[in-house]
Amino acid sequence: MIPSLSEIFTTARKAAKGANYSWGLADEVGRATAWLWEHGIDSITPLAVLLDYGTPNSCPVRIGTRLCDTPPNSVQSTENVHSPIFLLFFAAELGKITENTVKLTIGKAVYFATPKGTFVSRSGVDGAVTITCRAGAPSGIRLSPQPRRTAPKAAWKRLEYWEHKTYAPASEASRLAGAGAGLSDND
Amino acid sequence: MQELHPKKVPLRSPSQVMKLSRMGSAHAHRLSFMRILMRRMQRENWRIEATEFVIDGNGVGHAVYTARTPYRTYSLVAFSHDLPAELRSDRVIAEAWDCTFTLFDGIPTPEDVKRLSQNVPHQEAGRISKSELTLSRANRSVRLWAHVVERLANGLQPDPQMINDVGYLMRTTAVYGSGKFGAADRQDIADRAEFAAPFQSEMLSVYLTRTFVMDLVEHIARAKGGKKAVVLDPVMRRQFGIGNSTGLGMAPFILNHPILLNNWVASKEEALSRVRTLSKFNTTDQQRFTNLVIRADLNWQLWHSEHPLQLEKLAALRMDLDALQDFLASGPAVSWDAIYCWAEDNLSEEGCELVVSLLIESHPEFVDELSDCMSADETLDFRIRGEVKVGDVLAQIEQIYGWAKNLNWEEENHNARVWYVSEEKLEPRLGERFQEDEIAQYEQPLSPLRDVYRLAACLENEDENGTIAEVLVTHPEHRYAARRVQIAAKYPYAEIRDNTICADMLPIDMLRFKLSFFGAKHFDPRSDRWVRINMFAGAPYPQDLVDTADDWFFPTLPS
Repeated sequence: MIPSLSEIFTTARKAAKGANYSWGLADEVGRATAWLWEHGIDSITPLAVLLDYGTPNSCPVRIGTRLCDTPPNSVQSTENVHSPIFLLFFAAELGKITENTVKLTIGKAVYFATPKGTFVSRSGVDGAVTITCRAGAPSGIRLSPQPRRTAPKAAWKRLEYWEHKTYAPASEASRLAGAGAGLSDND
Repeated sequence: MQELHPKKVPLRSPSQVMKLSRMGSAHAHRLSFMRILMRRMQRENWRIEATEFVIDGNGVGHAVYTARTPYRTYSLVAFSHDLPAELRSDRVIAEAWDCTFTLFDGIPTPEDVKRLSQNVPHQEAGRISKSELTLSRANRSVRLWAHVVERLANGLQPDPQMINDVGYLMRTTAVYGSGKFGAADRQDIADRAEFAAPFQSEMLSVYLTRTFVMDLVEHIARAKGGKKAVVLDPVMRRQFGIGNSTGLGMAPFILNHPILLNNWVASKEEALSRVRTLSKFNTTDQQRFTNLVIRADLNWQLWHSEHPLQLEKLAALRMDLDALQDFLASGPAVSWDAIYCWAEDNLSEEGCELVVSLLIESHPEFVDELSDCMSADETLDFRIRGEVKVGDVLAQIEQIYGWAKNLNWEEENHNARVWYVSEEKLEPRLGERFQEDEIAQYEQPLSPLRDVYRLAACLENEDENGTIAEVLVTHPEHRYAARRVQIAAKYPYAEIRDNTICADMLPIDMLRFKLSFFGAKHFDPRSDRWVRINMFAGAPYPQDLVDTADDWFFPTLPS
């Protein structure tokens, strides 16, 4: 399966809702997952891990939205974040919101987000997280949109599992309540 | 050049325009998406031709129709099938169709056509790729199709009355784009001038489908009748549109894209305001507008429905058209604005909104440029401004949603409906909250009014000097509503001013509203959640594009 970005957004959004995120947060999950995937980072696997784990306070989407809602002036350090690579999306947003450089470290990995783009100084997806606003000059290779590619099969299946929880079971009564029910189209 | 009054007539208010009954009375206009596409095709002299037509006498095979623009080429790849009658259904849950289509980005190779032949006929169950822009299907209007084939095969033209009764030979039952089922994402094509306005690739797909369908019916008649078969008379051929059957899926779209919705309505309302502001109005204008009203009257005569609600509206529109023609015949109308004000005071919503479309229709030089303002980058205002104070959010809610503050959400009729998606081919459906067990757990976020009032109830218990961000940390369930309020505060037409889950809500109002922006005519509800329409009826075919001005939407006056 080579998904479009639109499919990644909608599947991630509905999967998050199926895993008990609110619709408002699920929208953020969808955007973050599609943006990371577009920029060459596997966001589908860490999302599947995150949703399977539950919605803890160490959820990167909760932390990320909090940061973007009220951008901090200082260094934010947090030890235990699940699937922390999701914070890269929110760092990129924060760079645009604050019109300044945001530095994100995840373990030994270092990323810089600026109003004009996001840069990878050293890649990595796991470890303790530090976010620094007004971090000075960025360094590294700019993240750019990547061609479409195959989604990791097992993780995508997990997203579909969660997504499916948002659909009402098929039933005859439901089918009869659908648009177009009871009418002949052979006319 | 006409002059504007020094004082511009203000845009109509959202509290008037965004009521569902008003939205459900909307008519197509010059800024409708198919009109925008037609003007571009004419202006840029697009060359359209059938480059492959490999279809047997029973109508089974494939065809490719290629549209060459000054910069790029697009191809409709059509697959035609032999569909057993018992499988013919316009619902999303159908699994086979008379014809299936995709719009290819470029000219497909034989390998592309082979790949598409293995996927496009299966529609949602197949996969397409970034090279494809749309995926769609169509079913025959059985009665008219058989009649036209029979007549043409026997060397005769079809009965004009039957064409008037139905209006099309096939109707599309879904036209997917924007990344669905693997298609190119909207962002992949949004920077192309020809797709900058909304739904242009979908409109192109439907326009080419109409051309293909007309060629197909003549091809089958020829196979059946041999030498005695004839082609359609060109004037009669022009009257055929392409039908469409639309279900509930369109309603979630306009609720899920509030900034886009705003931009559509704001453009149309700006167009109306510009016309109402024009200072010059003379007897030539009066005659020109009167002729347009007569053409709209001819269109009314072609508009059929059996649905009681639409029959009532059509009867009202009949009286409105008579009254409007009497008004125009009674003497000079004084100004364009006077015509609008008279319509507002004297006509039904159906009639008044037709006058709006006619006023816009008569001033291309002032309104057509607004087609550049109808798209939206909805990511720009996605962010919640967390620093806004709780008291200010409550004030915004009062200002935008205050009209509903006395609704008692404990009363079942205000909270009666549930928008949900069935696992059955993901068909969007509308359920009854208090009659269908456990349906509420599958509810989609399509009731912004109720959700905003839930947010308001929460905020009443918070410190008014605290920030919305602080509230959302402990109440993430209100994040959706908090975002809606901020968007609606910035974009006046972003929010429907009605309750989308109340017991007497009519989904067809939302469907018709969106279809009017597509450019549809002859809205024919089949139930409260299902509409048939006609698209491109009267439009020039590819070979006539260059010679025709954008004046085809209403029937022409008899010579």
